[in-house]
Amino acid sequence: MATPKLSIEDKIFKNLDGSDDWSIKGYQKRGGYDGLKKLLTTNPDVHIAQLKESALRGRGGAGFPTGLKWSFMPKPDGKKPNYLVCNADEGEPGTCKDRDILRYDPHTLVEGMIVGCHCLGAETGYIYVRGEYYDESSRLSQAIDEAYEAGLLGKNILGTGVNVDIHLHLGAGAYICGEETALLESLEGKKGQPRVKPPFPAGFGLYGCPTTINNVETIAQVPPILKKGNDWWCQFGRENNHGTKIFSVSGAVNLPGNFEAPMSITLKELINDYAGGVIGGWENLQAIIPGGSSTPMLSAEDCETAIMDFDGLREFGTGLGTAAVIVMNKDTDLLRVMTRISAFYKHESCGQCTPCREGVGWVFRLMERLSRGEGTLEELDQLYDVTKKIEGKTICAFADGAMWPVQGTLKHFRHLFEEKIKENMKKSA
Amino acid sequence: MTTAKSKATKTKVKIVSPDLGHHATDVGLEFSKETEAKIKRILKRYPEDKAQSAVIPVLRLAQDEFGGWLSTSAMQLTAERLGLPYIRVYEVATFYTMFNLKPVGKYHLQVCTNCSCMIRGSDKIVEAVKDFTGISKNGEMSDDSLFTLTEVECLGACVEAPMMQVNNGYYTKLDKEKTLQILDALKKGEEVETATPTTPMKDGY
Amino acid sequence: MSEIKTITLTIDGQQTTVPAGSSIMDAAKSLDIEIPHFCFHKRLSVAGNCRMCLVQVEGGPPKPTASCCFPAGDGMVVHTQSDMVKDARKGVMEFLLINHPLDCPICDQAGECDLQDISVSYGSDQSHFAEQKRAVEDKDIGPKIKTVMTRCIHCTRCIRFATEVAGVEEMGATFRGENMSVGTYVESALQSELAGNMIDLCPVGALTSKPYAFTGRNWELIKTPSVDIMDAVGSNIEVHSRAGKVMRIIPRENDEVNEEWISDTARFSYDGLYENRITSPLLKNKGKFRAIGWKKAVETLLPKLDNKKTIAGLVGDLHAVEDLFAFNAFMKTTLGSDHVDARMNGFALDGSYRPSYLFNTTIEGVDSADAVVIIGSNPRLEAPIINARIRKNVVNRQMPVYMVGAEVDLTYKYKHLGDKPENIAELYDGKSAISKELAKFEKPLIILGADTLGRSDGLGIYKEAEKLADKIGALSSNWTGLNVLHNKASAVAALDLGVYPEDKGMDLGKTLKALEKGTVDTLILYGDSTHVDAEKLKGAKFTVYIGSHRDAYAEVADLVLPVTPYTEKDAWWVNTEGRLQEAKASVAPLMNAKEDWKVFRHLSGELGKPLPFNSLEELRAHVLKKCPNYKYNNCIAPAEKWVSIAGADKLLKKSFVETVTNFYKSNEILKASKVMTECAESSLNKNKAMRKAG
Repeated sequence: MATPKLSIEDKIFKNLDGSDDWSIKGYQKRGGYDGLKKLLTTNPDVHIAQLKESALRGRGGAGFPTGLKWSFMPKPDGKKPNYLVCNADEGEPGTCKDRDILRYDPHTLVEGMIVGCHCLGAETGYIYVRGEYYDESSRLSQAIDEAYEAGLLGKNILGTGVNVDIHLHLGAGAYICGEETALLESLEGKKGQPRVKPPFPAGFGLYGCPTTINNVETIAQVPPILKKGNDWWCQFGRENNHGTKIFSVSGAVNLPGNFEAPMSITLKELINDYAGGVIGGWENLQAIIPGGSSTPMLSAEDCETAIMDFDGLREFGTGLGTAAVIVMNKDTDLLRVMTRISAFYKHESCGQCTPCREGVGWVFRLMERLSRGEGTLEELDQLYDVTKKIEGKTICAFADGAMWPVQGTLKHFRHLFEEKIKENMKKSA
Repeated sequence: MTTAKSKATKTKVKIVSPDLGHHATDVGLEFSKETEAKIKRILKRYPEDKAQSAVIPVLRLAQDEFGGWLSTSAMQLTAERLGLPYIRVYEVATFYTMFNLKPVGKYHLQVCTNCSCMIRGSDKIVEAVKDFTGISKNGEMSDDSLFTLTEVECLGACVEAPMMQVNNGYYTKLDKEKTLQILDALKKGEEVETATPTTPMKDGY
Repeated sequence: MSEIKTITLTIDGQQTTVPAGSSIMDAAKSLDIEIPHFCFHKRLSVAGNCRMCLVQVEGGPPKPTASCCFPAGDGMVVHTQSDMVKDARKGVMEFLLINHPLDCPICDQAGECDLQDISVSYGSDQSHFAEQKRAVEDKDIGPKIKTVMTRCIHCTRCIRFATEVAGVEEMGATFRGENMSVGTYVESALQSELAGNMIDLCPVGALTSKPYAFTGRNWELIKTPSVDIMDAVGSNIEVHSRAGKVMRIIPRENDEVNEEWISDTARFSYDGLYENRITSPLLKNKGKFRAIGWKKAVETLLPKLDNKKTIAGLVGDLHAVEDLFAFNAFMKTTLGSDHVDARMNGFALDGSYRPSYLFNTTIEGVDSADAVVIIGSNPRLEAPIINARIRKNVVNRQMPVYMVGAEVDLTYKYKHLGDKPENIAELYDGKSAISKELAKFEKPLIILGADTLGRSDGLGIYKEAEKLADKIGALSSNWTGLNVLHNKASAVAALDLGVYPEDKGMDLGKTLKALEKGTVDTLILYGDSTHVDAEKLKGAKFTVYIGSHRDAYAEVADLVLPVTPYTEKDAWWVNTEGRLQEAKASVAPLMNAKEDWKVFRHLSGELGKPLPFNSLEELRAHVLKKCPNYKYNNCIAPAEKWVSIAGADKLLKKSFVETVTNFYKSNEILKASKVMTECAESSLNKNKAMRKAG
């Protein structure tokens, strides 16, 4: 049973492909900022209750219920300000959905920030964009200026009494800053090293003030949900996995791209109907990483039935993550790709806590060596053992994300290592 | 948009080599008026007592102004401008990969070689760059000081892989031919349109 | 929601109740359950980065929890010995060791290394690591600390100490991931007066004492409890010796005094105990000293001590209680001369009213102050340990600090309100904004520099400060906030014991004049002082110097008698709070040096007027008779009711000057120390990164 494609009305990111005008004129023509005044004059508690019911889950990777997260924020007490921080530090390999939002439809985010700040009692919002997205940030910064000129930002927005200022902040190259507390540290002008939790940002966030951090896509989705209602939102996807979602499909497909589609679409549909199919045909499929480099891969067999939502992928021992689908066909040197991913994590570890600082490099070196066949079969068990010693022992989830793809490789493609090792042994014998 | 370095670079500025230990006062680095104006605007984004928040943007301005890399003197100047201990700025400058701690060419070619790009042939892009520039090793600068090649981590343009970033601009959906065309144009001093044509940010960063 | 004040939880089957806000590790400590850790330190902020303290919390996520930073919860069930925990510890230990060199045999930390100890107790007996180990370049961070950065386990204790306690942000971790490296990045000497504490904090051999490097092994050292005398704080120290020689000095913990920090002068000056020492009596002949025996020395001296002569005694800065008492008694009883003064800084007050010259609030009391007014003092250099306490309060509770005096870097921000005595009046006149601001505090603390009270208008300044204290509520029934901060170890004891003219004798000023006029027959210089230039001490017909080091004072003498520094005798010391503390002799007197009091006792006997004690115990009994407060050993005498002392209140227009000009050279031991010389030189090149206060 095929999942129907979204109509243009149902798409939240109507200009995701960049074919239309990204500026405020284009956005307003597409219906943007309509009904904003009503949202800003409605009590935030009503909005948060609706978000809770909508079951919107964070689009940044962890899938935490957004309404619940927002309900943790204390009401502003006049002593400390509340902050909304947008996480646009998109860096998970395979993921590039936020980039297209920033450059092709930036006002969806600006509107989301205005509504989000209103909901959270924040008068200041920061958008932390990864440092490499310079041109994209430039577009966003122009969009922010346009919104100020149109009276949609600043003091007393549209006469509602709501005040919101948004500032753009560019990073300088560190994947770890996508971790929300590392992002706050970075925004405070420090190294991006995750904080120990508790305290959580809702109590002690940016500059020690109550702070909520959400992904670009999540924030941009809020105004349409609040405007169109939960009935509309919940018609897409399954229980607890509702709504629309941008999937970044990259790698060995004929038409890679960012596609907004209903949640709970099957992986096979996504590849075939949206991304033009696997290069060399479906039979040429080797494996798919379903949610960015941190999620364990699916074998070609799993890909037949996998459903692209939070719960669907959990059944296969993996996750939706950022919904960045990386397709590897049989022409791909899978071990080399996975070793490259290990190298990435070694390069991006912040170095703060022991297992990650010392262990991730160890795992990379083992991957590098074993993928060349240099080593013993026992060392494959040791590799798995080391990943288990790291997983779950660290301050943040980075190391877990670094270990899962290795574990996934060992689970589905141990035979590739074994072949290399045996081959190598024969050679040296 | 142009990928050329900021024109603000003052020729009289002496840049110390990363022979650590030089202090800003020994060298007399100064931000240009334009940069100083940008810094003032950047500082307005953050609460008054949180000037530290501006470290990254100001370091990026410093990097642009002083030849595309951060000498210890440039870091110290940044620290003094923001009223921070030097070490807090060194920490930041060495943590983030976009800060170059040694001189780079006029065009910093940053080729993504992570998974999506690798699957779609980033090897060929690296090869093309090496062939064109004569650079033999990752991280090196070409003899004419025009290019530095750095293999970088995922730059978040995976659906347009393979790709590379030259200074601040992205060039995507590359193949060998397109890469060589871009490099040739850059070498001739021509501007090459990036994947997302736009104007530079008014505050720099 | 009602506030929960205490929390009850179960750890390893035992129940415990702890205050709300305690961590799981705190709770475990209450049950004496040991949880291994590296990065956690009770006096530093929690980092949670070593991951050695992982424990299992029932009902939580299926992974272990860091006990140092996770709050204990009511009804929580915690396991510290489960398989999950044991595996986690083994794993973390293995990761710590894969890049740690196995160089314990050549590591100074061996034997007192957390990594060794915890590895033995909780680690695995083998590693699977077969890759290349990491090597890290060492850094030159000055004469105090030696670095072997390959050994660093990145716990960041040193960084947190420098940032939080010392207040000199010099240490950091640069680069990231497995390349993260702790240090100063640009090689520069640490500028903190407390830097040496990083050596104790470092759980491995990455930061070790540079002067101590390769000189001894921890297990061959004899450890003697002692008291530091480089300033008047009375920091508790442990002197480590081997074969009769002091090998190093480390702090002892005392929450009321130095917590567990000591200043670098306390830690690194011990080489000064063996440099420039006087090892036998010296007699000057044609301008040159030659060594003589004690017998000859005494024979030479006795005729000069005839009580028909004008004999004056000036007392230096580093004398123990018993020695001061013995010298005072020797001067006044045996020699019958009241011309004695230990107030080498010209201190304006005498010992008649104890609270007038003590740090009454106590050092621990600094923690509860809600504002500090500093008058003519630089606590950062005069008492780094007390300064760290003030800083702690500034950092943790945003306590405001005000200063009248020379503008100096105190490592925290303060409001500078002028540098002349007349500015004090502006603080209490009731009209100025600042006087209104000051009036609102409940526990204001005033710190008066002792050297500032040594100005000729010292008494006037004191009276001004007293008025200020009275007006802003620093002298209430439950808060005595007027404090004198001394910077010399023997200052308080000398005042307590009356080591100044008590009858009609000449004080320091008069003695100096008499010397100028040539009316002093015999001058006894007992110890060295940085306050009075040796040039001014020439002029007596005969000068004897009794001291441990051959300094400028010795050079002006005709006869020199060697006595002992603090490490070579059992002695009492009284700090700026008036706290009596006992130090034990760590080593025997060097060569022919003798314990000070014994010299005076011997001379008194030779002169036919023996002092009435033949042992240290008898001497101490006499001291106690003179100063009953000294029975409060290791604690503070109860507060007395405030009495205002009479005196003129003339004030000069002269600005307060910097009280300490050369921190690393402020007494004879420091002057003799080569390490301190290096420190003094490296501190001249002050790193500009140090924040300017104000």
